[in-house]
Amino acid sequence: MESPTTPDPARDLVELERARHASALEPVLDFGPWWYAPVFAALLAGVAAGSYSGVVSDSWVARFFLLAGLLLVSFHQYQARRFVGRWSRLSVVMTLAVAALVVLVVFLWTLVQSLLDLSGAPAYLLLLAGWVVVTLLLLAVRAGLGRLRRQVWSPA
Amino acid sequence: MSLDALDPVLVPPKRLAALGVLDAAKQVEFGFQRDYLGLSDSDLSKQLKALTDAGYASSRRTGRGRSRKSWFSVTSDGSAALAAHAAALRALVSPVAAPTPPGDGAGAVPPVG
Repeated sequence: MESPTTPDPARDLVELERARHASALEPVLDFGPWWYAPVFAALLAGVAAGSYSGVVSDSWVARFFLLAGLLLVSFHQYQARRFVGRWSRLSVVMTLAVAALVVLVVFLWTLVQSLLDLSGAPAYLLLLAGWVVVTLLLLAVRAGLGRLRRQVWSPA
Repeated sequence: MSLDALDPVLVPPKRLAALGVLDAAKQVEFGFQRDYLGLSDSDLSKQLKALTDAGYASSRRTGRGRSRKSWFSVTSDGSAALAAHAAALRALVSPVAAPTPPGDGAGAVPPVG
């Protein structure tokens, strides 16, 4: 038999709303492990390369790495997942925001590639620098989401 | 509104929070709830067993060996019970939703915030 608990409606309500809120935000705030950042950056570069009618767009190697990266992340996400969220208005908004960010980054990648001469080594070095910048940007996003995630899950 | 309107199964705060997490998700793994609700294995097991025994949550196991996982999800009865319990809590903390008769201040709880 469990010991009786004295109800505190105000405290219980706050804790319930906190748990619900944190649970609803979880799918949006969970970026995944750190190594997703360089993989995502490479995927974005691959998409940008595919959308640019230049040298790289015809390369099967780029497409292979794009597909391999997608499969790797998808498989890992499926294996490591501990939470399956529901679609909510917030998650739809956040998904659209991420999609807009992806389109923006791909556009910038394409723009940079169109401005560079891809036949020269320095151009590739600049593309490598772009990959590093996008990776660092994604790592910063991951850190920010992680901080927010700890805040929403911590008791009031 | 009195404390009798509360669901006795959901009165323990840890159990209420556990069902709150389940209610906002499709399914949640045991270890995730343990880590993010800050409960021990035995404590969370006890709360989730009470919820499944009451028919408020269901569980299923996946994988084998080290990759074995226990998943929990809220049932339709659990969602309904949680909604009713939350409504009762709001009525208790809100003087507008639950007007107290003059001179009867017993059991009054101040509003949140």
